[in-house]
Amino acid sequence: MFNCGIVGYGYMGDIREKVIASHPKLQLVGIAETNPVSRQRIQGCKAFKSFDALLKEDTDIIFVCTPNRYSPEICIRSMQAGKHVFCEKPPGRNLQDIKDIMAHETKDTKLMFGFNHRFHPGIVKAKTIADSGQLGEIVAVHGIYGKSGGKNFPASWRNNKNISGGGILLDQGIHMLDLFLYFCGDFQQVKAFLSDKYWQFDVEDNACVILKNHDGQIAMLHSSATFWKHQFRIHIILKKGYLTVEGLLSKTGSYGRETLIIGRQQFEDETEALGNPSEEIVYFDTDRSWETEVNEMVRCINENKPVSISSSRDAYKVMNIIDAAYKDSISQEMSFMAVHKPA
Amino acid sequence: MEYSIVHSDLANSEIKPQELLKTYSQYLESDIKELFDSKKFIDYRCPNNGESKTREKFNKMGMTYCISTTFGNAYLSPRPDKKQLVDFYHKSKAREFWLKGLWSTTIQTRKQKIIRPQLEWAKTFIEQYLSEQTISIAEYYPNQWGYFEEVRNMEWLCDYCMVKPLFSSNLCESIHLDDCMRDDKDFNQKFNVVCLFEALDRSEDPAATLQWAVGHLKPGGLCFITCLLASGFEIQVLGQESNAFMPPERMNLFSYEGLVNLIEKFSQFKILEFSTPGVLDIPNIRYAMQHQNIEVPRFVRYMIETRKDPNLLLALQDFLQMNKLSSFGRLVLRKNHEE
Repeated sequence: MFNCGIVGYGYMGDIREKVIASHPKLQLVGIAETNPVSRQRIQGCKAFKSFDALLKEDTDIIFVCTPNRYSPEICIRSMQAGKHVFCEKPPGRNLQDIKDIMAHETKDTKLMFGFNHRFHPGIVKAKTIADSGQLGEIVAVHGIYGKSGGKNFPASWRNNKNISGGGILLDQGIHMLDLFLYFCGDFQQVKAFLSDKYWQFDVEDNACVILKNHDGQIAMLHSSATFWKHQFRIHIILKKGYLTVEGLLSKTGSYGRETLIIGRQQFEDETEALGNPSEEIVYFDTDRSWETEVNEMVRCINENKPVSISSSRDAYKVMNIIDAAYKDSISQEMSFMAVHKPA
Repeated sequence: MEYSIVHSDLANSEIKPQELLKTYSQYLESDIKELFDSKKFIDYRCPNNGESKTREKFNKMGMTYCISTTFGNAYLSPRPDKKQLVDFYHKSKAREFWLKGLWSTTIQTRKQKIIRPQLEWAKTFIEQYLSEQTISIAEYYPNQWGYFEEVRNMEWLCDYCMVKPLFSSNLCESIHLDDCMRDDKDFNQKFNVVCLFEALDRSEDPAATLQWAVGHLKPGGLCFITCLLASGFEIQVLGQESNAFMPPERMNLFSYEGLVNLIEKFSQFKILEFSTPGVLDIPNIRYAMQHQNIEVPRFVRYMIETRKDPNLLLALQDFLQMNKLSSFGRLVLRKNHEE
């Protein structure tokens, strides 16, 4: 049995509490929350005003569910105290934050990040099919991931650069970029366009990122806080077909039913009607991604194996892309099309 | 539990050309008369709850199908006993014609549009749930060797055997089958995967067949099932006139509810998938209306004959799949890790 502590009792802290409660090998010791209103909601375990107070307790695993600004320090101090750490994404506000965290990793403690989308049922099945080779190599990937941007949206700390470090790209786009890496491996080239056209926060509300790697695979992301409805879609084009995961099982169901479309290339006669390839659409009704990723963490601790999925290395890779995307978006090396006046 | 919708250009005429099907039916009718002794038939009851009460009975090729009251399963009763069935599968002219004529004529389409996709479906689950390098697979009650042959063609690293095959190996000239065909007497081997491809339909005792699967699966192992479903649209609309099932091969046609109920009796099994990815309900009903002069409900006739809109008919087939109402079912079960 592993004793657990949670730091931060917002949306994610709430989810982690439930996951710990349902896990046979985990036991919740206490939750640290600085906001007194949120702290009042804590029941069934000790409530602490500060992380320092929680750190003094006998815990094995610390779940870091705080806003981005605070995550790196809590990760580092937890590891220094000999705790295993499960940290929500993103791993801080910028590339330097994850570098700092990695510099404090120890052999004796496990560190895993909450890239739970890898564990969603549609993604798990798509990854299995892609890895099996039955549809050939991946040629390209594109994804859209975005929010409706409701009336409470401007008040979120996620739109405060000082706390979050970035906008929709760092908040949601990071999941999609992580999936690009999960399917394709590394990318070496990054091009990005960012905009704050609608919300006009000090962080972006739309981001388009284009990637390319040495294998010639290209990937394209549109992450947005102005879709006016929640949307998730990743389309993976392979040499012999395609895989599309659309919708995402979530607490509110607002991303729609999670489905995986498996399409097989038919090379129809182009003079005949096209657009009706052999497809299979798989519908999922259970999301166990939160439980599965924590199971994986517990397995690594139990068997003393290195974290191989959603590891600090994975977190570094995705933050490296985001860092490059932010830099590229403000660089002066832009290609502008010449404007020709009609004769 | 997940489920799938499948789009395929499979046509019934590709796998059951009408002339060949007609010849097969003629052989079958004469085999049923010649090979079976109805005095030795045994009464059978609903495999879910043992009830003998039926809501309906119908005759097909001289044999009687009963529809159970509670679950709506269709099953042959009275039915041939085990010995008569074994004799049928090994001596029947219909079976020989099916293997040497009908099946061999259509094998390429069957492989491309049925067998290969079904194996790829199974392989995806295997790769998702099983970590062994070489997977051991038992196909129980196969009535042909197509899956075995295609597994070899796919160069799939697995030990594949056919348990209690319902055919003689000498009917297959293309590959040597004896080494992979096994009886299940004194058979203690455990497998990663058990395939019941239409095996519940053919089984004299479906519960015993599922029990065999549970008993011969390793912990965490997978069981793949394909079957016809009595609750499916084609079978509901066409009833005994449906060419999808003929006795004695299809002895048990479960309803969706009946099959779920039967599986739930085996607490060691968890259903990972239950889909009805059939694509032939509407085309088969249309064919029967056109060629067999069969009465169907007015609304069905309106959609198929009056509207004729191909998009509507495709959408209807999708609707059937989406709501598990097609006549072809497929399931994936997983055995618990704890024995």
